[in-house]
Amino acid sequence: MSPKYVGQRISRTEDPRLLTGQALFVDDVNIPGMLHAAFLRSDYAHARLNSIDVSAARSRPGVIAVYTAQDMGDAWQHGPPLVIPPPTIQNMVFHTRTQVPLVKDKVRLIGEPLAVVIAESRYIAEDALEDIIADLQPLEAVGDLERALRPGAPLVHEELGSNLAAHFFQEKGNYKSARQQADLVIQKRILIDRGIAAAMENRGIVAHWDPKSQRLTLWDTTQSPIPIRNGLAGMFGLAEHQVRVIAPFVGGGFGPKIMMFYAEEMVLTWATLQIGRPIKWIEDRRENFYATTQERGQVHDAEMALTSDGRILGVRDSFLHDTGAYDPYGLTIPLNTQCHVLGPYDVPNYYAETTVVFTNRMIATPVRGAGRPQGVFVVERLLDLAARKLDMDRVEIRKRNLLPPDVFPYNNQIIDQAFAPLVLDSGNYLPLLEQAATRIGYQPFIREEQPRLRAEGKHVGIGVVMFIETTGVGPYEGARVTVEASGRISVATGVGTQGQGHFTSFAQIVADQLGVNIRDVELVTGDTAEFHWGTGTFASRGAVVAANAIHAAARAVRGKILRLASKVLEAPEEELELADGQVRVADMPEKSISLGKLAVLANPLRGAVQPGTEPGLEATDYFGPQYGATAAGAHAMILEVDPETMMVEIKRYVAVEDCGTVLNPLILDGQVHGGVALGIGNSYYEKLVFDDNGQLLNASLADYLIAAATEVPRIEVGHGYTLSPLNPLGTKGAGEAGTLPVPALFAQALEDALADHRLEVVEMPLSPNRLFELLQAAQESASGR
Amino acid sequence: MLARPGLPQFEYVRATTSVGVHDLLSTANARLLMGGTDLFTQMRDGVWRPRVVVDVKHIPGMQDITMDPGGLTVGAAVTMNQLARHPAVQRLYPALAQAASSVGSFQLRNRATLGGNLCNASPCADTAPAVAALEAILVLSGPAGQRETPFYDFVLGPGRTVVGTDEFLIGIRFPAQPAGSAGCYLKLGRSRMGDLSVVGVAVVAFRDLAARSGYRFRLALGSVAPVALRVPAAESLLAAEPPHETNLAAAADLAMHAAVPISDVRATAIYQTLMVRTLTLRALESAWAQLQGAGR
Repeated sequence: MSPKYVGQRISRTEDPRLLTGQALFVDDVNIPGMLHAAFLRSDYAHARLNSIDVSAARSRPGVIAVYTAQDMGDAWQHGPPLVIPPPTIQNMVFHTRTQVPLVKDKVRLIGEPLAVVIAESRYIAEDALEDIIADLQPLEAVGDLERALRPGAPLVHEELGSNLAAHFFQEKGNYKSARQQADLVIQKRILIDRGIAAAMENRGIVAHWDPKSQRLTLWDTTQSPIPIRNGLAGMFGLAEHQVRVIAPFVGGGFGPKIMMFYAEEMVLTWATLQIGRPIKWIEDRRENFYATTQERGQVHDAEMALTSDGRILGVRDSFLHDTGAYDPYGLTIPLNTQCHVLGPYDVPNYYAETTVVFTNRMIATPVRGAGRPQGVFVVERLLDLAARKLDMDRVEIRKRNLLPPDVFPYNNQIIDQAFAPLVLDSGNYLPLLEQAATRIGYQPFIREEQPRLRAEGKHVGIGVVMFIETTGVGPYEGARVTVEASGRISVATGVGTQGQGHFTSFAQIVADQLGVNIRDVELVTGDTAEFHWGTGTFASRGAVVAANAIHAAARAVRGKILRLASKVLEAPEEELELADGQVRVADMPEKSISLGKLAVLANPLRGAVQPGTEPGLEATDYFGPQYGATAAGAHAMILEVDPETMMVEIKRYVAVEDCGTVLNPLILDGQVHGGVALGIGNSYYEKLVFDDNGQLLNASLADYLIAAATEVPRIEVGHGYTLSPLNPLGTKGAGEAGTLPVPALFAQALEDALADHRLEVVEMPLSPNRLFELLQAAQESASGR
Repeated sequence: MLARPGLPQFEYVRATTSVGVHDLLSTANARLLMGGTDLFTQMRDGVWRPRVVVDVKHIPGMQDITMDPGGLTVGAAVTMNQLARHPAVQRLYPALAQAASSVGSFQLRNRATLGGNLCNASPCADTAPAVAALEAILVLSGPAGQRETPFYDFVLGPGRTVVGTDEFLIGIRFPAQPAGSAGCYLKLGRSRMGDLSVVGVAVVAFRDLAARSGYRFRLALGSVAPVALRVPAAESLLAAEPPHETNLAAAADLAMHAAVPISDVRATAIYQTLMVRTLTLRALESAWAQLQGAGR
């Protein structure tokens, strides 16, 4: 069977609905009698809650209820830990502290909810917030990671006696002895600061407990509806089948929507159980800066030991990771960082040490990249600075260290975010690097074009970097595929969808297996009433884990179709083919039956069937990979810097990706474009600024800049195709790939553009202003001051 | 507690004549509505809480752009896009057209008005330096009739103007520009489009036989002081000696020394200060090149 759809550049079938406003988002859910919630949030980052008086708010006309932590009684509980630390890492220190639904005694982060008002309208609810008197005694706040660990620092969780959330190290080989043999050791302190995901759609929830049917329905902008259902049921004493969680169309996930359980999810569920009416809460843009998780803050002390011919002998990286006030997401982010420092390179000796720190900041959970961009930044920067010291070409030093194609599967001997050894399943890295360098015209640029432009006084720089991306982690996903009497195919899977084009790419797989038109495949995602096994959309795993589950279920249905058709058409299965919605005998096309008729035959209304017969043409199947598939890529760009204002213009951008089998190149290109756009934001625009009191100074899209069309260039996408041996489709994830290498690439290209300044970029994000300061500092140190 | 976006209740009054508006303004805790791009964000954030919102943009003349031998008159409610795309404004008042087209985004410029931008008196208002350099006269309507005030007297400080509680701005008059005038507005934000300005520089230049150099330059800076700042020292220098590379740079230095920016999340004071020099030099060079081009 040759695939007709998989691999084709097919326009997304869901787009007409999205583009014409016909798609259902959480805020489109309107139920008669629905109430609206608004949260009172702390404007201190750290404070003692002495008392809270909600009596005036309760008496405001239109207010149905006002709840504080006290009102929740026994239902008040910490959110469950979402990810535990890997049990396989020895000598691990890990202190679990998870978020609360409403503050009971102490505020630990700015914006932490103190009370909720449920009212007839959002207007009334917000007005009533002003009636609440909260007596907050501000405490000294802590945000700086090093300061947080010093004795005497304000404590986020007093009972721990320090702000240490976790500490662990991993080792491969022996870095110390490798260092002794080194010709060159590059040692750098590297800073990466915090940003937000800034999805176009903020978070939102409609929670509806129907007392008559005794059913709870929750529409939620979550990436993870099934664990939300199971968790809420457990938390509030309901049977799992009583709870239905629907993640309808969601306007961007980017990681923070995988976080469970947000205070608002816990509070709205509890509140609707009290009131018995539907309640809606839609996060507004300002709340998004205070109520939705963030990521990236890390401080690295990193070093790389090399030979004089540029071969890596070892890497040592000791870093602080900012988890914010709580750590429900365990060590996923820092583990990713540790793993991605190794990159696509042969690093025989590695020592990685991580200290996770509690601060009075929003909880850190994965934001597209999830610790990986930090790791990529560290290793790529060390390589660049080594190349400079060794007077070696930047592409050449990478070539010398790439893992060769015959070493896979390659075991890096440390534990990754899936608690399994970091095994790179497959890869062929050199062609990716060469393709990126060739497409950007690396050699002609540095030999001819750059000298010519420099002579004209232009500050142009080129960069080429590499990365790997661990993707497609388990445990598993599932899907059910059904042939309906109409001949249409319905598919249900548990993962939610936030714009990835699932309705198209998943349908392509099914259409190929069953020989139907893609328009005849109807897909449901993210509705626990349709499918209730699975975990969610995260870690670049949809096209790996969910797609292979769908593939498996579709193959099982294909088997059922062939078995039944063989009887009906009186022909051996091997002679049958599925095409155009029909099963037909290959060389006798007049001998055929439509899938719809076959589905009716498989589901008789009267008569007897053989014992053990399953009705219908339907199958449910699952896929769980042995371990994650590793994608890889190389990005290159040319940029020009205005040497006075430090404004940057990206002249060209090339992204070469290897994510194994490409299901739909159009969708893949879009993923890469979006990822690069976020990476550009992470490099030069998007940085949260806090003051010493933990106040967020740029909590609006006027002050917090997002890379826009004027900052994101046309992106040329190239491909490598090293299929993953770990799944039948051969796919690897691509959801986060575009973001990972951009800060490292930006730094290299900036240094090249400003080569006469001997600049070293060891921090991100930058800005024109920050780059200006770095240049001033470089000039001062050059002039010996 | 954290400001909670959401408009408070208010009464909307649509005025089609200035009669009655002054009374309303002085008695009713009222705010004027022009484009609403600042009004509604300030109201949503709870900064302003007017009981009455008076929409004055439908009063005759408020949305008109008129040219006569005396110069250009822009109704206070003319939008940024109308101004930026007006051929005569582009030709004769390029600094104003460029300033208008640098405000926010295209969608915002469809609503934001010149009068609103000036009356808000934000230090980073993009049109303020151009209006200052063009020596505009502002026409205010009050209970006793109209009065005029030069723009350099108009803004008292951030968010504060000379407009009385019973007055409102109806128009901005720009004196006729000498033939062959040059001008430009250069803006520096953190991104190429949409950001508020970190530094804005407006330059207007023309031949003037009364000046010893034969040229008159007018220079105004935005975002680097509480109000848009003219730089008389730089202007005098260029009136005294014919422009050339060295004294354009010297004028830019003078502009830099005149700037008194403050550090905030968008930029540090030292960056802004040095960027004043950079942008001023570029603006002066651009205006000078235009003048030389026109002379040929």
